[in-house]
Amino acid sequence: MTNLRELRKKRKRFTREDAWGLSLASLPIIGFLVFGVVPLIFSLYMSFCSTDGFLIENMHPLDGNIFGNYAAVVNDPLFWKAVLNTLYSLVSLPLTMVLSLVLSVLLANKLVRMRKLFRTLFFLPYVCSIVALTTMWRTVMLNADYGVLNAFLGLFGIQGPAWLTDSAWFMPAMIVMGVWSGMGFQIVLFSAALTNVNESVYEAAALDGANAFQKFFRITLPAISPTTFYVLVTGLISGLQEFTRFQAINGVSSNLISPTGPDNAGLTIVFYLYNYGFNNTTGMGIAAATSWLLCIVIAVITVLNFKLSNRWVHYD
Amino acid sequence: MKKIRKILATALCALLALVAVAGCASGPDLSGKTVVTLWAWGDDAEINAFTELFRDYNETNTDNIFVDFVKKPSASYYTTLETALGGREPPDLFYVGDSNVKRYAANYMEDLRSYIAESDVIDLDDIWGTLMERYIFDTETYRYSEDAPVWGLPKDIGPTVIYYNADAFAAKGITVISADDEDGDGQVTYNGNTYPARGYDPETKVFNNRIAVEWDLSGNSDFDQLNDLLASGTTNTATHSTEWAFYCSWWFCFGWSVGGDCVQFVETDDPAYNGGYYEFTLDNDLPNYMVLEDGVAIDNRTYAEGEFVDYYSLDYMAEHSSDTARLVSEGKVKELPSIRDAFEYWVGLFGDGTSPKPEDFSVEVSLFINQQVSMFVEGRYNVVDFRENCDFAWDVAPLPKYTDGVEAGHSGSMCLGMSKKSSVKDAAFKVIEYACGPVGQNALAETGFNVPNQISVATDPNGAFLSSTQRPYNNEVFLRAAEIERGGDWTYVSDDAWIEIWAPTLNGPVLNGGTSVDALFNTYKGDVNEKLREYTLR
Repeated sequence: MTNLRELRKKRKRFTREDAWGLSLASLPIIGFLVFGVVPLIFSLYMSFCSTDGFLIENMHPLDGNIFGNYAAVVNDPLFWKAVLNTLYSLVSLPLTMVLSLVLSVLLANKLVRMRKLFRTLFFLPYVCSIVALTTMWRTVMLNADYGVLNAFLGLFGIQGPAWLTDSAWFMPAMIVMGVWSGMGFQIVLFSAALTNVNESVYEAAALDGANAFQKFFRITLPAISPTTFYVLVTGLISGLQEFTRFQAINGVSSNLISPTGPDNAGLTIVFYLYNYGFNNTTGMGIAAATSWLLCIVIAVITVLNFKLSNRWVHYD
Repeated sequence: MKKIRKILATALCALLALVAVAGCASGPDLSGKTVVTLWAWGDDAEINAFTELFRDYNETNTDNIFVDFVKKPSASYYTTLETALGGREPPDLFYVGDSNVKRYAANYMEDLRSYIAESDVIDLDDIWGTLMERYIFDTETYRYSEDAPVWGLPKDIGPTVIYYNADAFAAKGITVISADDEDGDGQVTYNGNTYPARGYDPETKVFNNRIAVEWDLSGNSDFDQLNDLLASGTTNTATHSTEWAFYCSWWFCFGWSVGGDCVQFVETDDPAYNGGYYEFTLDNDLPNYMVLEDGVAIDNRTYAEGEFVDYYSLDYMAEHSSDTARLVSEGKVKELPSIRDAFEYWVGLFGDGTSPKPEDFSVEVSLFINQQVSMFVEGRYNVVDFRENCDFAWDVAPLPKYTDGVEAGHSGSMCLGMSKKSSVKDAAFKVIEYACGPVGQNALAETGFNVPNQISVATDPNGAFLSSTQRPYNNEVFLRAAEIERGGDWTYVSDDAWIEIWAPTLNGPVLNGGTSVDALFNTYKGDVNEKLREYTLR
C-alpha cells in the first residue's frame, strides 16, 4: 500500500522529461489555437462588423442591426443563386458514388485483367493538382470548338454545346468533370471495403440460391455501408465548399464572361464569399457572415447524416 | 546495402549544403543604397521591358537608389497587394489599375501632389488629361476635381480602337485609304484622288482608317452597311472571309457617343451622404441634347458649344417640349438618341449576326486572330499579341460614332502608386519620375504594348511610338483615342460590385438573346441603385 502511494507521488511529480514531452506535444495545439481557433473567433466577430479593406483598424461593430451582414446575405438574390448552383453541383456526388461503386465491383472481379493498372489509372486524377486538371478540362476537353468532348459527340453527328460559355451547359460540364476527378479516391475506398466483405457470406447466399443482384444488394451494399457513409459525409462537406475548380475553370478569355461563369452559372457559396471578401471594398464582414452561415448548414447536414445513418449503416 | 545508404546520405548532405550555400550567395551590393521595392504584374513583354529599364537605372542612377522590381502573379495580384499594403512592410511602389485605385487610395496610398510640385520631370499638363482624371479624385465622392489629391502617376494608357483585318476588307472589295480631313471641307485627298470625308462610303466601298465610321438608328447607316458586307456567314481563312463583321464587348463607344452614361452623380444635402450619391441611368429613354453654340441657357445653366445638356435637365427638356423644339429649330441644340437607344443598338449587334454572341466563343482575341471577325475592338495592349499571331494584314481605325454625336470610347491604364507607409518616399518618387517620365515611356513604347502617357513623348515623330516600323501603321488613331477616351465604368467608384449585379445577365442571357433589355433593367435597377448609394455613405 505504501509502495503504491509512493509510486503515485512519484508520478505526480512533474519531471523534466514530462516538460519536454508536453512542450513538444503542445506545438500542434498552439498552432491550432493561433492559426485555427483565433481566426475562427475573429471571423465570427468580423461577421458582426462593418469593414473597409483589409485594415483591422477600419473594422467596427455594426451600428443598429448587429445582424446586418447576415441579413444582407440572406436578402441577396445572388447568394441564393450561389446556393442553388452549389446544390446543383452536388449532383456529381451520387453520380460519382454510383460509378465508383460499379467500377470497384468490376475491378474486384478476378476475371478482369490488369486490375492494378486500372486502379492506378482511375486514381491518377486524385493525385494531380486540381488547378492543373481544371485547366486541362478547360482547354482540352470542354472547349466548344476543338475540345475532345465535342469532337467525340461530333462522331455521332451531334453538335456539341458551348460548355463553358453557355450558362445552361456550364454546370453539367462541371458535374462531368467532378465525377471524373472524384472517382479515383472513391474507387480506392470502395475497393478496400469490398475486399473486407466476408467471402463465406457470399458462399452461404449462393447455397441458398441467391443470384448476383441479390448478393450485391443484400450482402455487398450493407457490408460496405460504413465506407459509403464516409464517402457521403466527406463528399457532402467538400461539395458544399466547392471553389477551386470553379475559380480555375474560368480562364475563359472574354470580357463578356465573368469569373463566376456565364450569367453567374459557376458562382458557388464559397466563390460568393470569396468575391465579397476580396473584390468588394467593404465586403469582409459579409464574407465572414456567409462563411458562418455555410458552416451552420454543413454542421446541420452532417448531424442529420449521422442521425439518419442509424437506419442504413451497419458496422458489423 | 549499408554502403548504398551511406552514399545516398552523403549525397543528400552535399546537396543540402549546396542549396544552403546557394541561398547565401551574394546578390547585388546594396551597401549605402536606398532600396525601393516595386511590385508589378503584366504581360511578359512589358515586364521584360521594365526589368531592363530598372537594370539600367540601378547601374546608372546617381542617387544611390536600387529598385527591387518584383513581378507578382497577375491572378492574385490585388489580393496579395492589399494584404501587403495593410501589413508592416508594404512595397514602396506598386502598379494599380484605374479600376482599383479608388479602392486603395484612402487607406494605403500617398498623395503625390507635393512631390509633383517639386519635380522637374513630371509635368501634369503633358500627360493626357483623360488619364489624370482617373487618378485625381476626392476619396469620399470618388469624383475628379482639380484640387483633389493625386493618387498615382500613369505608367501607360491603352486606348481602344478598331483592329481591322485588311485582307478581309480587300476580299470584299473594300479600298482602304488613310487621310485626315485637315481643313474640314468634307473631303480628303489620298494618293492624288479625292474622296468624301467619311469613315466608310457604301457606294464606292472606300474605308478611311482615319475617320470614324458613323452609325444611326435607321438600320442603314454606313456602319450597318459595312457590317452587312463583311459578315459573309462562314469563316474561311484561305479567302479571308469572316463569319462576323464586328465585335466590341463594351457599350461605351455607343452610349457615350450620344452623351449618355450608365451612372450620374446626384448632389444632395442629405447628411447620410458625402455630398451626394450615384444613380444608375443606363435605362433612361429620354433623348440627349448637344449644345451647338456658346451661351445657351437651359434649366438655370449656361452651356458652351459642344457640351451635352446635363442629365438632370433632360426631364426639364421633355417637360418644356415647345421650348426644346424651338432650341432645336433655331439650331442652338441638336437632339441625339437616348442612352438606352444607343445601348440597345449595341445589344442589337449581337442579335442580328453582326457580332458573335458570348456563347459562340471562349477566347476573345482568337476571334480576330482566327479571322472570325473583321473588325475587333480592343486596347493598345493587344498589339504585341497581334504582331506575333496574326497571319494576315491588319491595322487600326477609330471607334464608330453616332452620326451627329461625338467620338467616344474607353482606355485602360495603370499607374504607379506609392505606399503611405513607405520609409523612402523621396527615393520612391524618383523611381516614379524615371518610369513614368520620358525614359520609361519611350522604353515601353518600343515593346508596342502601350501609348506613352506623356503627350510630347507620344506625339514625337522620332519617338519610339510613332516611328515604329511594325504594325499597326496607323498609330495616329491611338493618339486621337488617348485624347478623348476615358476610364470604363469600373473606374467610377471603389469597386465593381455594382456592375457585377447586372453585367453577368447582360453579358449572358441578354446578349445571347434569351432575355430582353427591359427584363434586365426591371430586374436589377433597384439593386444596382441600392448598391451605388453605399459607396458615398458617410
